[in-house]
Amino acid sequence: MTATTVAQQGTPPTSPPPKPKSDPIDRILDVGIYIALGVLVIVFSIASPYFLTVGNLLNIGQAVAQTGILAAGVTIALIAGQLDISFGSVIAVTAVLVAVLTGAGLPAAVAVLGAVVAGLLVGILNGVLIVNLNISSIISTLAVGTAVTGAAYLLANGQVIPLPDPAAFSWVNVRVFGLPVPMLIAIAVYVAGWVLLAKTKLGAHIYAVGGNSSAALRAGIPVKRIYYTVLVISSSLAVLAGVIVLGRTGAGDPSYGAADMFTVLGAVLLSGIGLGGGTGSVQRTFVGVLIIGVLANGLVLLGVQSYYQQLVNGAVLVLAVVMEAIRRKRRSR
Amino acid sequence: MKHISGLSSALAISATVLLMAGCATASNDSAEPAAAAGEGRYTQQDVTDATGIHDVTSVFSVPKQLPDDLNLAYINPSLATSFFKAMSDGYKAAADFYGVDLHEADLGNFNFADAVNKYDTLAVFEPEVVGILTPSGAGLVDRTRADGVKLLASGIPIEGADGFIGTPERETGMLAGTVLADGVAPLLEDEWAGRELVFVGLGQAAIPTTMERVESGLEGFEAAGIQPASAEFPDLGKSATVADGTRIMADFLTAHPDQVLAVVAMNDQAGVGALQAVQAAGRQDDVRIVTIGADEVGRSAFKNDDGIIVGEVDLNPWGAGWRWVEAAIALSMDEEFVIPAPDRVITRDNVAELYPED
Amino acid sequence: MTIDRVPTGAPLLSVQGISKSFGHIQALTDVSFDIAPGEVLALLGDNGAGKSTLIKILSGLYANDTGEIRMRGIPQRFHSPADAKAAGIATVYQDLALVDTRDVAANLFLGREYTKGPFIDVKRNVAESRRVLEGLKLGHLPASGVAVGVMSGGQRQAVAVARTVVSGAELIIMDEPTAALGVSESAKVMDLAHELRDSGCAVIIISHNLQQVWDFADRFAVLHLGRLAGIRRRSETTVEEIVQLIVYGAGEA
Ligand SMILES: Nc1ncnc2c1ncn2[C@@H]1O[C@H](COP(=O)(O)OP(=O)(O)O)[C@@H](O)[C@H]1O
Ligand SMILES: [Mg+2]
Repeated sequence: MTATTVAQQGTPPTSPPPKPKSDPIDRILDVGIYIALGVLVIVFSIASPYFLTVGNLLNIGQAVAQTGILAAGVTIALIAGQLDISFGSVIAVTAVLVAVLTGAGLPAAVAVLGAVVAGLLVGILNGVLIVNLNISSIISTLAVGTAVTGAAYLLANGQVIPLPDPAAFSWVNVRVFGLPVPMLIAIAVYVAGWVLLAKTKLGAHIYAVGGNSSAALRAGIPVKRIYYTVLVISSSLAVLAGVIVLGRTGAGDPSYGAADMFTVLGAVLLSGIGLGGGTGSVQRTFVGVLIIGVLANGLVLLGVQSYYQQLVNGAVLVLAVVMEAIRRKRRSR
Repeated sequence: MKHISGLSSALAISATVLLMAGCATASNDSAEPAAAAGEGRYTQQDVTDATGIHDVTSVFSVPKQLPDDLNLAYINPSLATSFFKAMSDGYKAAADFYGVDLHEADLGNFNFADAVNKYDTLAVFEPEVVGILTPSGAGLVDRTRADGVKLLASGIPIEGADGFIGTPERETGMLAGTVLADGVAPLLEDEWAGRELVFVGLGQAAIPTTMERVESGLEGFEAAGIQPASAEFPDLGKSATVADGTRIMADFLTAHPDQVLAVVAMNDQAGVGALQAVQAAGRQDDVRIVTIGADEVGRSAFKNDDGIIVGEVDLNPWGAGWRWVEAAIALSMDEEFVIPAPDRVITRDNVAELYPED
Repeated sequence: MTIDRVPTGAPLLSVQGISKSFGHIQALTDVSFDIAPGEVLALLGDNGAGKSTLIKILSGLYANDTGEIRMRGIPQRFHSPADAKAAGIATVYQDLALVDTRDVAANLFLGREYTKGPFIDVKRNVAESRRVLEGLKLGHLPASGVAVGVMSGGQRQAVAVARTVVSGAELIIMDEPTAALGVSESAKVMDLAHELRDSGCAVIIISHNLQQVWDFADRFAVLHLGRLAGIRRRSETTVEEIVQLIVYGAGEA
């Protein structure tokens, strides 16, 4: 038998993320985030003359870069079935470590290399707990994250450490062709994430491991290695975000990253990825990131009291969680 | 201005004014608005009338005619904290009064990493002056300079900023220490006689200004003539909330079962938290506390504090917000403003009079 | 994988004198049978008869205590499921081992995707999937774009079976494939077994429901208390006889 007998018929064999096509409610859940983003943009455009200006849109791009880079890493790990919440601690330790090392006279590049090594170690440590000791990912990464945050405080001696030479990181504030560098980095991360997940064998295996790890194992996929890989990807992206924060603020503060928990997990959950593994995409997470970023920006432009901002943010998260619950219920029928 | 009686040393301190680079002031012998309170400017009396109960001492005599498009921005560290909420109300009231635009952003729960992003958001309004309270403001200095916006640091000085207005930490702490000494002195003659006295400063090791504040508390305490057996500065940690104060103080009480404690708390939250720990441990007879801030959380503590809080240094957060606007206007005009030291202490006796709406 | 070919007509799988005990429980005692290419064998028996133990030995999950397994006459020693797979034996367990969130092509080529460098050759995976599906008369299943998790139980079973074909298996073992299926879906699975047989594979279907497999199997092997109670060609037996073997074993028959 040859492939010619069959390959020609039917739709062209591009493989979009598989989803049930039949069900209208599922479809609404799927397009819901795009509608939500569209509505937000329209509402803020009407309510504030500043919102739809190029400058402000670039501000949003700049502001969401950090959240976005983190959320991409969390998404990749979550598709493999691992919820990595240690990213905040990696930001803190990156910022502090680089500030301390450059303060000790090391060149910026060497200091950043040190942070990269620290990030790899965090990813590997997460892997040891999750893969080798069989502890759930949320507990493992919470534990490692707490320890790493503690290490960042120790390293900083509890202080905020100013960069001796902020110029070495001023590229973070540079605009290339009018576009903020962090935004360009985030775009590159998302393109790479999309290629990885949708186009490569590793990506296919990440979905397989997250969807059914025992089936993946029986199919000869190196499940443990994939877990390590996604955890290291996630922590490495957190290092990248940490360097950006460092460049933006000009100082290493061990409290950095603590506040990213809400925005990052909020963005990831909004994408409808669920916590089960095997589904999701960085594209959808990107939309979640934009929703959170647009909300943060628009509410400030409107001068909305921050209590309401928190209320709105909380409501968005509740909505995301409820949507996920509906999804799961429908799936398990 | 009102002072509580019997605090002569406090008065002396209040006359001291900290000079900060970039916004030096010419004189400190008068709390009247500096220079030229002429026809075209608001007077202290105008400000006193306008601020009512908040009783703001003006730091700059603002011209009645300001450029139409004078535009300010303030990045608040945490509107969920009563101190900064009161400050927010104060700068909004001042902006209203003086007729300038003011846009505000909130860092949520002290998310300083987001400060530059929030600045970018506010920058679309093209403010002349932007204010912020942050321990890590270096990045903002570059960003504002690039935009030609003036950075007026608030509360914590930022190196390279165009100006600073805030409480002089040393004077504030010394006033707190003096008040504490006044509260403890009678006890030392009586119930506390012969017991080991420990001075406790509750600050955040990560934020040097808070440590300076509580360390100066010890200085003021000793300057008043009381020599504690030892002084300790347990770290409140990342934040200085009521919960942090309770947690740290509970442990401290456990570790010091026999000692008597004189406590200066860097803010009302930490002080009220410490109070709750003392009450939970049944150590009401062994501890006296002075807090710094006198915001709503601190003032309401008097209602049920078993006499443990002997006073609260009034940082008048609402007034601090108001004065930030005055200083920002001065900065936009390249004029000078005065940084006043705190001089008012809230006690259970005067709290109702000073804050009748509480 | 390389499998030495022997003249057709010889048994594909030959099991000789297999015994297996778990502690003092004798799960299998001296079981021997052959199966030829293009044959469907139903493995029957009550609960606890030893069916699962036997297929676990054949698929490399358990080691037999005594006896010998030959594929095409060559003695095999399975230390792991991978060894059994390499010898051409694939097992479809009740859990199907599918990744529910992925489409058919991704599942059929799970772990053996066609690639171009580090990239998945999506076109080729889908085309090959279509080919395999059509070969099994499963052309109605969407090769791409639909997660197998939303498919019916019978369709999922079909995907799991098709995957064994992709893996190049010559002997396909199905563990209670119809346990969770309705009548018409069960019939489709049986049709699929025929397609496999017609393409030259041997099929072992484990069942405790004689009704379902009666029309489809070429032979019936009945286990009773760990012993092979009997092995019968359908043309030479009756339902009653098989039921007798299942319930009472060889001694009472
Ligand atoms: N892993 C095991 N450990 C101990 N006993 C087992 C194990 N697996 C099967 N048995 C026993 O072996 C016998 C045969 O079981 P099994 O092969 O599962 O039968 P069937 O699949 O026909 O119902 C039963 O008595 C069962 O309890
Ligand atoms: Mg069984």
